[in-house]
Amino acid sequence: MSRTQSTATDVASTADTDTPLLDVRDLRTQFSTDADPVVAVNDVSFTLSRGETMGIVGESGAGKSVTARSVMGLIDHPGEIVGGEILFDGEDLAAKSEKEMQTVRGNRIALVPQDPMRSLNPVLTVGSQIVETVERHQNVSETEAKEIAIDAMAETGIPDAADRFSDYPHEFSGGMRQRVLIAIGLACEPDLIIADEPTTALDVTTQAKILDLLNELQEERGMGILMITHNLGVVAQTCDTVGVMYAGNLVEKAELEALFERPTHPYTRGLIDSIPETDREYDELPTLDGAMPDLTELPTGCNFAPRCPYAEEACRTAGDPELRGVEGTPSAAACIRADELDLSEGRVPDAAGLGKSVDRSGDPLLRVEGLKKHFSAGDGVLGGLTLDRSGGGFPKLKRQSVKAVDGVDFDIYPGETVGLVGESGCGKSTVARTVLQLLEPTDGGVYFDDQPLHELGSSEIRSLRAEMQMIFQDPGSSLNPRKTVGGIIGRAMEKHGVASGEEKHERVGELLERVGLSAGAAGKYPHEFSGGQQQRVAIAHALAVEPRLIVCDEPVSALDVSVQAQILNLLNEIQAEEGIAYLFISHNIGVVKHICDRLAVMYLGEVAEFGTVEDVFDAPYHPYTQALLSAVPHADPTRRTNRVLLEGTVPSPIDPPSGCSFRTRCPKKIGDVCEREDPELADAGDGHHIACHLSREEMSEPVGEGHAGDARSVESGARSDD
Amino acid sequence: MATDAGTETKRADSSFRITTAQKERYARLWRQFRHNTKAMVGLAIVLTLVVVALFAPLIAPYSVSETNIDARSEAPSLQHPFGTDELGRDIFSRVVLGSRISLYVGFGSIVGALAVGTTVGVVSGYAGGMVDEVLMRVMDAAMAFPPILLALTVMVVLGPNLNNVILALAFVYTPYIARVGRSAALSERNEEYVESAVSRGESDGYIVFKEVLPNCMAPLLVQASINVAFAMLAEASLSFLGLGAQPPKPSWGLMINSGRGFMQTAPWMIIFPGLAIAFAVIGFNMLGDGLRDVLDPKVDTVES
Amino acid sequence: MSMLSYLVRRVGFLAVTLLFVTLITFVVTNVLPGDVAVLILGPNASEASLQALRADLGLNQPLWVQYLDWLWALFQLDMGQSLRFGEPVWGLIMDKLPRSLLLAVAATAFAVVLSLPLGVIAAVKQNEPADVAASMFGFVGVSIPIFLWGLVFILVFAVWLNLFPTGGFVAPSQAENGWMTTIRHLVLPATSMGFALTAYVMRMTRSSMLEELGDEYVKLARAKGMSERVVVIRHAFRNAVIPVITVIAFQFAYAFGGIVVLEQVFFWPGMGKLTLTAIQSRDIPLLQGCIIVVAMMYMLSNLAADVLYAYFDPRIRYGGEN
Repeated sequence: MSRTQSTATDVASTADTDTPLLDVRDLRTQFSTDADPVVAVNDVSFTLSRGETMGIVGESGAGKSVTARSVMGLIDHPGEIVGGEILFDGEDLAAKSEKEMQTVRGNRIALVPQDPMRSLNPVLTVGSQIVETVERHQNVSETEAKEIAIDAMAETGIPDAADRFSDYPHEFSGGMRQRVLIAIGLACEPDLIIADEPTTALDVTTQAKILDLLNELQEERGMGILMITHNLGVVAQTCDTVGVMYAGNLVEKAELEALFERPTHPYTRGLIDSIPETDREYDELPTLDGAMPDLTELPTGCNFAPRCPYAEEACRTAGDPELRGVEGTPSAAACIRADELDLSEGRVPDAAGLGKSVDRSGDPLLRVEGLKKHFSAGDGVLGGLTLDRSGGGFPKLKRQSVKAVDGVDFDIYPGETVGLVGESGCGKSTVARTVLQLLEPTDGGVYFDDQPLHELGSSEIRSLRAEMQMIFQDPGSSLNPRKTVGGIIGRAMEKHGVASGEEKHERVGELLERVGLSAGAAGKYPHEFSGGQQQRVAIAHALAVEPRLIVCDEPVSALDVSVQAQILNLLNEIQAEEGIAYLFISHNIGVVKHICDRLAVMYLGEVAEFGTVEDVFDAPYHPYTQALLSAVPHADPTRRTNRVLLEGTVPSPIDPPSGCSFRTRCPKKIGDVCEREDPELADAGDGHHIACHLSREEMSEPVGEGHAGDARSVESGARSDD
Repeated sequence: MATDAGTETKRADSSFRITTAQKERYARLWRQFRHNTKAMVGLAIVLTLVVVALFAPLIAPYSVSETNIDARSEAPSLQHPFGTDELGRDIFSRVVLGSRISLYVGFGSIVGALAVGTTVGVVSGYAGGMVDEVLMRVMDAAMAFPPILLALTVMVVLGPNLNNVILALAFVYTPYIARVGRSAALSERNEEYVESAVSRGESDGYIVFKEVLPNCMAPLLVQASINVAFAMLAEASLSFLGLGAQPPKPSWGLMINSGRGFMQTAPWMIIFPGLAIAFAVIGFNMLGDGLRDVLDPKVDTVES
Repeated sequence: MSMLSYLVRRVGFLAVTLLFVTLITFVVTNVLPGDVAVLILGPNASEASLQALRADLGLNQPLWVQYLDWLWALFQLDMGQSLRFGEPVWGLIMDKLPRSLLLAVAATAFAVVLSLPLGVIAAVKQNEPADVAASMFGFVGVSIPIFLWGLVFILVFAVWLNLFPTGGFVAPSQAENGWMTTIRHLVLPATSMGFALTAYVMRMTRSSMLEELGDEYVKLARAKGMSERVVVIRHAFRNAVIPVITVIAFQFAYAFGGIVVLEQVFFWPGMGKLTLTAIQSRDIPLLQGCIIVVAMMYMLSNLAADVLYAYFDPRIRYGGEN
């Protein structure tokens, strides 16, 4: 690609190659408040070389994004950098004026932001949003700028870049928008790219493609990448070095392999342990107690001490530990006990396993047969009507429907956890709501304890509600902000005659203790709790009426990984004691693998595969399951999976493909039969159901062998449509 | 909100805890309110008005209808701080007593509009579908008439007097309240606590009035206080056109109407009632805007 | 949703709303106390002639039949005869409407020109003195009744300073200086109404700007090194102005309410004065006509806003979100 170099880049190329590209020294960023200022980044130092990818990993509130924005000089009011230096190619960015920084931003340091849906200006064409950057920083004509922009789009794998130049952001899918954002970042050939959670908003199969793209571009261009993420799997797949942040401090700095082989800070160890990996087997996740402290009320001593299993008296009193080299390792940690601790082995929980086995000899508790739920496309009386001019002649009014769920079958036995997994838009949450009759099914049946729920009247359903409860994704939204926790839980008990009066109060207190809160929490409002605690309240609310089935809709996806592990353990414990069955909806494959007994993989409103966790995670696979599993980034740099990258985007549920709904993207498509016939969800006799025309042997083969499909592996350099 | 404690008031020990939590919530809101200059200035003006209206007969030095042929159209003086009108009546006394009319109409019409509008709006927003569609088309149609014009027409039907002004303005402002209530309910309906209540087995009535409505109060309160300002303006306009309060009532709008002919020779006859209107309306507008800042933190939030 | 479907939908809504508008108008004006026949023929008319007229006017029919007849006539732009003037209502209205439109358009234009920049400045300088000053200006504008603005302006600019006439309307064709004379008559009424309209448009512009300025694409624009002027105008304002269009349309319609009072103050012979005459003389057909035409103005301005909205927002222009 030929292009005009900006003057700034010329200066850069003459700079001393020994100096690191980015050298952050004692960076301190704080936000002024009515009370004391809140220190969001507390004396953080790190270096990043050309061609290196450094990950900054941490949970929400750790200060990783503020660190990134400090480097760019983009701290929102009332925040400001109050100390330290940010040496970029030897120049201190912290000392530059806003005008000077404007020539650096977008030019030598580019940002790839988190949210592809909101980071593009909806009223400007994507092309013009790239061109304006080029014109701002490079002395080129409009035609040249346009050429550069189209080149950048092509380079990030946007098909027909020249044609799509004048399209608006809403005409692109999420993954494609993320490619546009990367193209904006690349357009001026920056020396440093700051990627702030670049794949967090994307589905896992799209994430795999974007991460590959970033890796590939770096190999070609040799720029430095600062990768901000909460996901250790992403770190393991992309980074060379890693910094771990906790409550504003950088607590560990290490080479990638060293970090996973032998973490030197107890927090890093805890973080790695908390991830439910798809290839590990245990009933209970090792967890860290509590949650990250609020930056306004940090403990004295080490910020991590209150949660640290190795904390001693000195940790709580000796002040904030400095980041320093750890003996016998190449890593550095901010821990006074780092030299003596060997954290290379993960902590194994005490319990030798709950030894759970599900009895499936009786009748299932819940049976779902041929369930369909179609929505009118658009809202209102006139919604969903479109003018259909196909076939010529006078346009006809046509009412369209979104086939969110289009024929789903599964069952759940007492005491069992069945998972529904799939990417956004596959209909899994709609299944949850339709099962509970929060939505009326369009077709098909839901049988609870052999009672046909879909035929019952609303008053009968209401009295049955005590038997089936739901836990929602966002506890901040599922608890009425105007009611106290005790009021919410107590109301449920009274409503279903479980308890009232004095007894009710005792039981509310007991329940709150049961889920790990104090009985005194009853008098507080939901907003006074953290996200994890709110989810505990939501669990107590569900348990209050002593149900037999709880539908959990993404119950941990709004939580940080260390808190997520606590909630998963709590759900498991409760099931072991009370024998409650769970229908567990999640997009997170590791979580589903960890908590479920059986699993249904959903694609475009249908079940692609259903069976025990072992069945689903081993061959034979449905081709979609195979792609999905391969896309998960493992938090283990030694594991490289041969990724199956899917072509194209998920088709619209308004007009799903004929035959097999996955055939438009299937790397193993065999031909006409896939287009003509919708494969049945067939049982091989062992309870393992797969909806595919392939034979079980063919389904066991790796993608790309024995088939002339369009399978793409990582190495082939995907240029596929997201 | 009274309903917060609704399910728990029977129990002494827990109701104590709840009141503490509630107190904290109000204390927090009050702290934010106190730091909002706009809100505090608005509140001060509104309180002043209310006090003046309550003690009007004590404050006014003359009777509102006391004419004095010897002191017609006098400029402001120590005896008559706002001057006198063409009949020699003391304008200061009339302006003070006029606050009662303005507040009476302002509050009265909004209480009426709130009673009907809140119910229609919240039910419509929560129910959705056909019910919502029809109700909202009717509200749209009602809002297609400019408020003053619709109020005038209703006044013709009902006949010009003060209570009818309240009825007419309540009728006119109901759709505005309903619209706010509806959009609040619409966004609350998407909150998961509503689904949570459904899956707990609650009836629609319980969910609308006990779960959703308390969460819609903030925007309704804001809209109501701004609509009090609108209603006071509308009353002044109607009276100015001779279709509101009737002489010799000391309505500010009416005073301006009768002072209009003497504008060049005795401008105080329109200036002081005019200032009174502006003062009162600015008060409610600022209070409403300040309340919006405090209660609806969507705008002006700072991430940290 | 394509642009065409969108517009078809909006026109559909409009038709339904219009139907309810006619219904409300009919109901409100038909519960008016007083017998129309008596109103027309006077109190001394004989019972027989009253009956004959009632039958002639269709007043003996059930209300819903009367409504449908009236609606059908309305559909053919037949709004009946004015009782006061003895002329067709439609002609009377068409005579006055352009004058009021001129006033309303001028007032709205004045308000827009003033409020958009003020709103943008207030948002950019959030909580700084400029913001406070702009919002105080807005409060004063919206809190002083239009007729008071009008009287004060007459007093200051017409009586004391003698810059503009105190009132009245001169058509360009009747004046020596053509449009100049018309505009001189227009300035005071248009600005006094404009001040009342400014506050709301300004507040919406400010809050819409604040929302956009907090959005991710604005942060990215800054991260691309764009100057603050480009960030504010090219990026934030272009998005912020879209919802403001609806507010402007609403204010334009609101201006039609204001003219009832304002035309009285400035002796402007337009729709407002005509409506007031209809009210004072209980001229029901004329009142119905006036109300419906004013409501139509509201709906047409709303439709115009919808079209503009679609024009400015590519998500509507080129099909919906995917």
